[in-house]
Amino acid sequence: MSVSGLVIFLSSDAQLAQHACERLRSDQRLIVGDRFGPRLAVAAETESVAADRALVDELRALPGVEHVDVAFVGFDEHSPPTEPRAAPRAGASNKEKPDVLG
Amino acid sequence: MYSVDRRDFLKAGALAAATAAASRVHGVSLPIFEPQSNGTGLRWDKAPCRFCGTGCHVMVGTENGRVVAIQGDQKADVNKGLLCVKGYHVGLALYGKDRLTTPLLRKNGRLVPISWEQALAIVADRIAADPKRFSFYGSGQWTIPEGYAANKFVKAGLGTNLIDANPRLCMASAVTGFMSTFGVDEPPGVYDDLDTCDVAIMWGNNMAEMHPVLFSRLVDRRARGEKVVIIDMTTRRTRTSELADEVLFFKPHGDLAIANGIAHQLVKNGTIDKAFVEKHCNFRQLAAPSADGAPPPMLGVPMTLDEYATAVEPYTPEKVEQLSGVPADKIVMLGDLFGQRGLRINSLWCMGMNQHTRGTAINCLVHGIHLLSGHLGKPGDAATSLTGQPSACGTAREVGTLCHLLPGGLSIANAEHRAIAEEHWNLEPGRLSDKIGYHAVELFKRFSTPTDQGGDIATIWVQVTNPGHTLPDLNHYFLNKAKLADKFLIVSDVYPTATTELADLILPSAMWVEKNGMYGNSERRTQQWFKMVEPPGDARDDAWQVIAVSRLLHDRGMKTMGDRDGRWLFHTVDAKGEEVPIWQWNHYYDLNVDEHLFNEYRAFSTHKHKNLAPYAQYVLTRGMRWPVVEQPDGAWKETLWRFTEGSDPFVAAGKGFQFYHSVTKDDRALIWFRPHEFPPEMPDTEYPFWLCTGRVLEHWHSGSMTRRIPQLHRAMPKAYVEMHRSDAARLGVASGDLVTVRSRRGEIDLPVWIDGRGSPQLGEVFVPFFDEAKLINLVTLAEYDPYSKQPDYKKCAVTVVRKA
Repeated sequence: MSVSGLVIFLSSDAQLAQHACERLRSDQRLIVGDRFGPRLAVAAETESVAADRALVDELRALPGVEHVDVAFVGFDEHSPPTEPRAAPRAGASNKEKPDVLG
Repeated sequence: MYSVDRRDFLKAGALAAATAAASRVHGVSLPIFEPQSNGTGLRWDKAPCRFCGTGCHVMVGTENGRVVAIQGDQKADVNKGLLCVKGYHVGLALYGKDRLTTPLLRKNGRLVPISWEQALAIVADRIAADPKRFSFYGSGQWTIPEGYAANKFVKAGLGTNLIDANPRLCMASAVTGFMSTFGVDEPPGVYDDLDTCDVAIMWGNNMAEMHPVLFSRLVDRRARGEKVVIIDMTTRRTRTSELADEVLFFKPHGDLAIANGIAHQLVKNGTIDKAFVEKHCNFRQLAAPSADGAPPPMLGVPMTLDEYATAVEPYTPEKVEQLSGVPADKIVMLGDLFGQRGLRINSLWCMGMNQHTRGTAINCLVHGIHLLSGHLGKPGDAATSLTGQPSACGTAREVGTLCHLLPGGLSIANAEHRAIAEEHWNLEPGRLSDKIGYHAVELFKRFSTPTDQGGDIATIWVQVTNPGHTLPDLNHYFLNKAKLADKFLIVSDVYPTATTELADLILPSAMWVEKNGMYGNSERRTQQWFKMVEPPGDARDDAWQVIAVSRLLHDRGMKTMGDRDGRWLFHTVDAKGEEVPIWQWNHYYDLNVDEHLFNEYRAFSTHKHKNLAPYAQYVLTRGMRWPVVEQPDGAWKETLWRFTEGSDPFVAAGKGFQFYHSVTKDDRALIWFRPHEFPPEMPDTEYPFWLCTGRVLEHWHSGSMTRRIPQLHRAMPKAYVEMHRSDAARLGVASGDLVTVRSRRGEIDLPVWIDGRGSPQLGEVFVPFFDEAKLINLVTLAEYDPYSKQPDYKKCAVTVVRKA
């Protein structure tokens, strides 16, 4: 279970922003809070961190949404470990370096 | 699984946090977990946040040997229960999957695990082989006791000054600005000035993202109906700009012209605070350049007020507009503001003024206009430099882990200061070297240069920082090391980084609440915490690593690891007077080594009136701002406004103000004239864009901790290049398109972001530096300020080319 608090930055296009708000309010995973100009407060509940990540990606891609900031995350011993990174390597140039966390 | 009640609680907390962030009005603490009432064993303890220099206090919830919760500390004056998004997640910084847990030695290109005994022996061998070619390199992430141990190890134990730290890249120009103006380092004011100022001026400072909890103090005042004017002087539109009353875009190095323009207005309008200036200030300028091109001495030569007036006369509003790009009427407006004695003005800056090839000059000029107009030393009237690292002030500046300093603000170059240090450390007279060591850029240049070509540094031991990511012009100042078989890099760290990629030996370190610690924040506040959880695997405290190597060298017969009586430099006894073998890991926590080191260091603090209280006082508080002086009733009292009668205990009665470490030895501060000068590298036809680099809200420093926190990584996963919409159109690129950003030193591929988090001016691009996979410091310039030796990461010339 993952619970997040998100700040959604809405488009300056009023129609797009309104459309996005309606979509968000109809999403069962979200509790939509107050709006402050372009910023909308949202709580998100998903089944897993992976689902949470997918949700944020989905929100980012939503027409009328410019950006999503994370303001809060619930975590405890049930949280999955953070993502792995490659072991230290010698002599690798920056261009060869994989985006190990991406 | 969460209980229903618990889930509801978390959702309510999540929505409250999002609402607070969205409204930009913070008013409540937002715990991730509440203390459990059913006896599950959750325990809460105080600690300063691990990340920036603000010094927010968090309450850390631990259970079953793990950090499981974080909340803002309501008892902390700095943050009053608030935290930024990084602070809420700071507990997760401990639990990245790839924590370093065992010493690793590079053999035939591969890292292989070795024992601590082997590792310590290798370090000792490298040092013993040639102590004069060994250097330490640390940071403002060293705790105060850790930095003190490393400093003593090098300066007393090895008899060199070959130690420097990341603050050289971060706030060294603030130091030289304070030293040039007041004769002593660190701000006269405190964060309380944010609560009382009428005008807050950001000098190239994106405070909303970099110091968000402090910025919220200004925003909160507005929300409560108070009038506070925010002026954002910036080279690019940022989140700070969104909340500013005035946004004044200036050209790179335009800040020098703006400050002189304000001074000119004060002189021309007759709004100088003559009484203050006549009683408390002298005027100063640099001597003429010498024939050999060496910079003139930092402390300059005297000038009169009339000569000063003549020097600033060319900086008319129209001339300043030409030099800075800020409209003339806005220069007049700024001059009028400073000329109003009834207003309280707080100037705030961070890397914009410090990472600057004229960083000392602009720091001096901003202090100068505050002195000239009398806007200093009263609540709300302050010139405040903010720091980027949690103990840049407490450790690097106060403990003196730099190549020219001794603890307590004492100077290597001063024979009396060296004698004081020798006395404190019980060394024979003359033990301490008078030869200033290498500053960070020079140090790594010499490490990355072949020995037979002048590369006289053979071994560097890096702790708590990531120079392979953060040095400028990495190809020349770091990556060349890969070709030099006789150079040896030792890195103590908690995660693999760009620096460990070239390390020959990696030592796994404990971090934050896995050890005892003390930090000192941007407002002279010294903070303390206790170890709460065990480090993973074989990770061990940085201070222990230093102490263990010192003991090994001592046992091998290196006499300088002892004092003049032959007693080991870190000899520590318990309450019964019996020595505790703190060099042995299983005995390191038999007593509180931090307390012993801090109380020893504390003796240095009185010489420059940076008085510290005994360790036990910091256990009881959320930090105290020095000078901290014992009162007749035995209480220890902190100081808010330095140099101000009634606040600073060292100001004599009847003085009003007393700059008691004055450069001119007459209790006066210096108002400097420094001219506008153009940057050493500017855009041209081949490299037509300015490049500026910096941070983002979600990531701290090189991202080695915050990028391992999934929530922060998810919020800001990759670096990008911000471009002006018109520049992007001319290049035929849109947001998300890949471009190559190239300078004379290197290149990197990045996705474009137009009108994103920030918006550069036409002809300027911005790249955040947190992303290890996209190292913008392959591109940046290593030119540095001649006095602070701090490089300029904010301006160099690049070209931007669309990728096919």
